Amino acid sequence: MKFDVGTLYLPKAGSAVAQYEDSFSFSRRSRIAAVSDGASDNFESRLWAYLLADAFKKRPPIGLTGPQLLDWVDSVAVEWRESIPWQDLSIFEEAKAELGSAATLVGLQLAPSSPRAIEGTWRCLALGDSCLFQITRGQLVVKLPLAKSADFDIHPPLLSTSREKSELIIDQLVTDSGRWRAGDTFYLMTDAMAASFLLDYEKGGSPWETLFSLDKRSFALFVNDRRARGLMRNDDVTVVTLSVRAPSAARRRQSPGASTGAPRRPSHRAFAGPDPRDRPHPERGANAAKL
Amino acid sequence: MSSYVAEISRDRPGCILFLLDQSQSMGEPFAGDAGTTKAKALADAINKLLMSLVLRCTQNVNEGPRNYFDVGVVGYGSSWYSGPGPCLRGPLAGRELVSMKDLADNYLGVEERTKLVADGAGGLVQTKVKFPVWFDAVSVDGTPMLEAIGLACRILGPWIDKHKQSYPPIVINITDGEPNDDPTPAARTLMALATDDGNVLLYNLHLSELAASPLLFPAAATELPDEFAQMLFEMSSPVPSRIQEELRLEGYSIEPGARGFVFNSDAVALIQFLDIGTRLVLESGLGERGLR
Repeated sequence: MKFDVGTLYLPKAGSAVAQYEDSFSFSRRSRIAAVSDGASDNFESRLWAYLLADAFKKRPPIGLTGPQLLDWVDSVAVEWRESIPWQDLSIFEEAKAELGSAATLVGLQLAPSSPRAIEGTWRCLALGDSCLFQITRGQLVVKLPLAKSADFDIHPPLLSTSREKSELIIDQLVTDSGRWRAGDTFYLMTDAMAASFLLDYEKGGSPWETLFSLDKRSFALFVNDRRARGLMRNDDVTVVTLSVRAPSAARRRQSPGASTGAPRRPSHRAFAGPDPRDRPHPERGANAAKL
Repeated sequence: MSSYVAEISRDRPGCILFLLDQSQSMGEPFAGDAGTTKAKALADAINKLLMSLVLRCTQNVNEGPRNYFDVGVVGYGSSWYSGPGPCLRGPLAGRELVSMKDLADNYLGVEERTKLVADGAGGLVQTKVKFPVWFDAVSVDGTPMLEAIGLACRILGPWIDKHKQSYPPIVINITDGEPNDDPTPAARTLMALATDDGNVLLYNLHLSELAASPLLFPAAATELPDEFAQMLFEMSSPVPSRIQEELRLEGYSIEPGARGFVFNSDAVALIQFLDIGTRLVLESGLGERGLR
């Protein structure tokens, strides 16, 4: 089993890359990918999203029950709290930090039926409105956890650094599993793109074909055009694509609707998105990057 | 074209202007509580709201608050010698509108208050919280609401000229009694000011001296007990439809045509009203996910 991974992301229009609050991770060895969307008005949500996506890759919570997942989230929250420089915070930063942070999470793990298999199983975990879509033979066959563009609103459930808050929404955790075969493509994406994807699909389109053809530059043009036409909310956008190669045609690039295919985008071994802790903080005052 | 849908960002900030009655009667008990004056309860509520606005705009370590809003606080009660005017104190004294960064950098002082919080085991425990203050309770003289609303027009006109694409300013007027002069014409002028996204929203809240049942967001003047209440109703903007929907989701009984008006407010209704007047604008106006 071989698969290719592509990643595309773009900050909200008017935002600097340092203010991008989605995150993603993947591991080719473990056949895992995850996407997380930090809640903008929480404290250090870009860090929280990064830590959730990174933990999904390192310690996948696939198969955990709700209470077990709460323990897993707690362990990630410890890392979030330890990354906050509490002694240096202003009175407002401290008060905001004490309220915690929140983010969505969707993650996927593929398993082959044998090392050289051309089919196998997948398992997914999702909480919030970051979505997973599976394309098989040119058909959208899996939509998780939301299935319609109308299902998106501004109040999805979020995993919080506070166990009490996460307990309130853990019953909305969605877990699922299914089968894949060579030539299938999986898309994990945050809400703005997912809602736009489903809207296009509901109008009879095949948005996966468009997405599959985009590179970094054309992706930015595509997203900005949809934002300008009111077809996509102005929000951070992230798409992670996993395409399972068919052995007989691994080097021949085709659309995800075909039985074989490999994306043109660079394929990596493993990645966990940019670590917010490595970024220079925007300067205070007039020179701060604008939203 | 729909109104009240503009996204709030640092390039297109919102604006919230508070008009606070500081007349002598504000020194009387609030909602039947002999231990608290209306002026003190109001100062606490506004200081707390300013804190929550700064917190909402604070998102990352070392970044400072993002300027999603310009804010002004005008007091009216001393018309005999100076007229209504800005009432933030300290370095912000005299400033009609200030940024979130101005607020974060220039509070008067920090009080320590106790607060009950969940102890994680199903109970509550007392904890100390820092409570920054920007202005004090004042109760001095008459009720020059007409002049205060006129001042709001003079403050917001230039702001709107510079922010035509922004969500329109929200003016929150809080009073406990009848004004010296009829403010209705000035209120009409204020509500006629508009950005490309809609007219200025004027919300009014009446503080009650006695313990009475608050009337929240009425949709008809006929429900109101007297001419003063009807006047405040008439000079209150209809609640934008998106915010009406949010309020219904939160369990409020909102009729079509509901106005941004509360009569006979107690402390709970005061906090709810201020929260709704500002938080829901952020949630509806921000093109981002809100607190959940």
